[in-house]
Amino acid sequence: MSKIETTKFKKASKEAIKNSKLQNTLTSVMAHFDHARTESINEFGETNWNDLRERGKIIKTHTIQNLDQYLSKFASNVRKNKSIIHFADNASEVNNIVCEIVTTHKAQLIIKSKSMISEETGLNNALSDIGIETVETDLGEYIIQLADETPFHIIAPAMHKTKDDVSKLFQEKLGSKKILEIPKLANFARKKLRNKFLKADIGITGANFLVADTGTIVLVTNEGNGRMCTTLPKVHIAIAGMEKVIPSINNLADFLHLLPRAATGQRLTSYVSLINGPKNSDSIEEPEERHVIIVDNGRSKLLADQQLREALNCIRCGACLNICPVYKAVGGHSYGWVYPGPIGSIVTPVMVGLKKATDLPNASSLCGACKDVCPVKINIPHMLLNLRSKIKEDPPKQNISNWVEKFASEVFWQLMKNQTRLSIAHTIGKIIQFPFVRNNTISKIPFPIFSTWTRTKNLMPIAKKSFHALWESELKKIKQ
Amino acid sequence: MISKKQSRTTETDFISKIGKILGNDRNTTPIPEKKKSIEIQTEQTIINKFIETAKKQNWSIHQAQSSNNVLTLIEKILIKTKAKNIVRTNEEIINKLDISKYLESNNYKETIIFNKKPLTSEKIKNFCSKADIGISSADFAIAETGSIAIIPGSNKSKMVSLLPTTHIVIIPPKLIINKLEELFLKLPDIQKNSSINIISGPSRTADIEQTIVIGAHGPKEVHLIICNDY
Repeated sequence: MSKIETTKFKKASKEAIKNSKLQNTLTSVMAHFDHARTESINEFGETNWNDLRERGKIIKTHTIQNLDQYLSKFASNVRKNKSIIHFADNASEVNNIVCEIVTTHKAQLIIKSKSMISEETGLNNALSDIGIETVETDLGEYIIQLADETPFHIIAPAMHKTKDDVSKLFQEKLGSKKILEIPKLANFARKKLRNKFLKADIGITGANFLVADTGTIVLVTNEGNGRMCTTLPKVHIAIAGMEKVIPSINNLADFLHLLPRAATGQRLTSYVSLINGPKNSDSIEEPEERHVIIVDNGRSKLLADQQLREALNCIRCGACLNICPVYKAVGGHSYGWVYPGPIGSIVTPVMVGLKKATDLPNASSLCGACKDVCPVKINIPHMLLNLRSKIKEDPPKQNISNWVEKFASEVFWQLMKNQTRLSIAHTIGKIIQFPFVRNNTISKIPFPIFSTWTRTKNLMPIAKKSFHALWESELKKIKQ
Repeated sequence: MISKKQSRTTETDFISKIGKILGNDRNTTPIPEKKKSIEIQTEQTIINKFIETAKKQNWSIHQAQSSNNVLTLIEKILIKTKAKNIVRTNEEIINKLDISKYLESNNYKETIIFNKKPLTSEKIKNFCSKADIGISSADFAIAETGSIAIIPGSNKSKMVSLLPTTHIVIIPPKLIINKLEELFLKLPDIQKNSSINIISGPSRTADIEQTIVIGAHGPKEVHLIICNDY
């Protein structure tokens, strides 16, 4: 498994918010995503779009409900296509399978197309442990690999890097001269990586969809590196989460409309590759061997929880990250594991363990924007609430704030269930608050615990006249 | 003897674990049929729609009335891109152009993929990576998304559209279909093909500051010649 730093969420968020350079980048870059998505949906037609989202939801829900049957169908079709299928329960099993294929073929150089699941398993480290050079070929991933960082965003891994950062990185790590323009930076990477593409022994990719009735691996890419990785080396290995399966090739067009529009606002990505088998007498421009690894790595825990199962419908477009006010403020690295943002705040706690990630389900204002943009209509806020209640049922440790919260809600309950008590409390409250009210707001309470309430927001003081009193006096006026 | 190999999750283990989690009282209602849109469009509307969308997808679109016309268009592209090394497929639609004669008399280096057998994958890779321009046809063109689809095999090449800096595609209008979903309906036996490649313009990246750059790892420039003569 890759490094888990989910417990540092609060600390990391604070640092991210204070980092003015990062904040500037986030503000300028995040606007692009939302603009592009809205434009492409306008072109598609909003009614058509919403009908398609509903259909996407129905197809994914049906597939996950019958996942065992579809996986088994997919597996037998992969074999029919003469590719090799593997199943892996956990991260180390994935890494072992890959390392074994690498050793068998005596491979030296591996090229990789973007794969979030390999980030989960820490595959690159596992390969470097056995002395194999692995080169990320997606430009964003390449930048991240050179910087020795983890992806900041699931579809734009290096979005936090400015062109100056990238230029500096290329100078330091690749000995380039100072490059000032973005197209020239991209061209420099193209030249550097072209050689690797031509020399590599093995290509590793993820998968966007697995088609059960044809055994097809579908890859949606823009740069062409995905096509290179699945075509040029002698061996291709695709690694995919078990939830990626869709029932039929006839469902594929629907998802090919949903994914690029929601992700980057594109009509369709530059390349969509449907990959079946290895080389045969009819088509010789294919690898000699193709492997598909189907991975669980904690996904069955989501499946087992009826309340959270819907998270497996996710097609990893990143739209919920792009719209989320929390993600836009704290950025991807604060979340501390592979999947950030609203969907990550559901998936991560379940996959790494809820106790290690109690801050994540709370990192949401529950505004619901994520649900509105989701191309398969996942009810993210609902699941975040569910996780919050799970955390409360099984609190990580009994600390002072837990105790105070319990006490406060008991007091609240006792007051609210009786009108006389509430009136008395209202009167007492008005007296107690008196020294803290300035200009009809409470902006600072100097006592511990309470002071945290006013650290980031102002409170309204208790009203002079309670609602109950107001109601009675107004009613009297009407009757007169 | 005890095997030293670590125990591996088998397919049966994996799938039966999922089966157990899902249990028997699951919703097996099939996916409802998709409503068929009753959209009758003439061939010309579909062609026009394709041209419009393809332009948006950053294809350079050319229309030719005859094979001679196609050759003139190719000539212009060769001169403009200062190309020297040309790789092309052995498809009938391209052979008809008499392009080899033209290339030879103008001192271009031409390689024809699938001309001489046996050709290895390694050799094709070598030819295509050295070429400035790749010329091929396609199996389908899709109006809705401005894409073409190439199914490698029987004179159709995968690398010609991938490795050269510029890709020229020549298609007759009859290949243009309206919707993306029609593509999958038109391919009765998907599994027969090792791969199907849908291409919707030049390669691109927006990985630095979300700024779109045309030309990432695949071709930087893509031309589509629609030839009415076929």
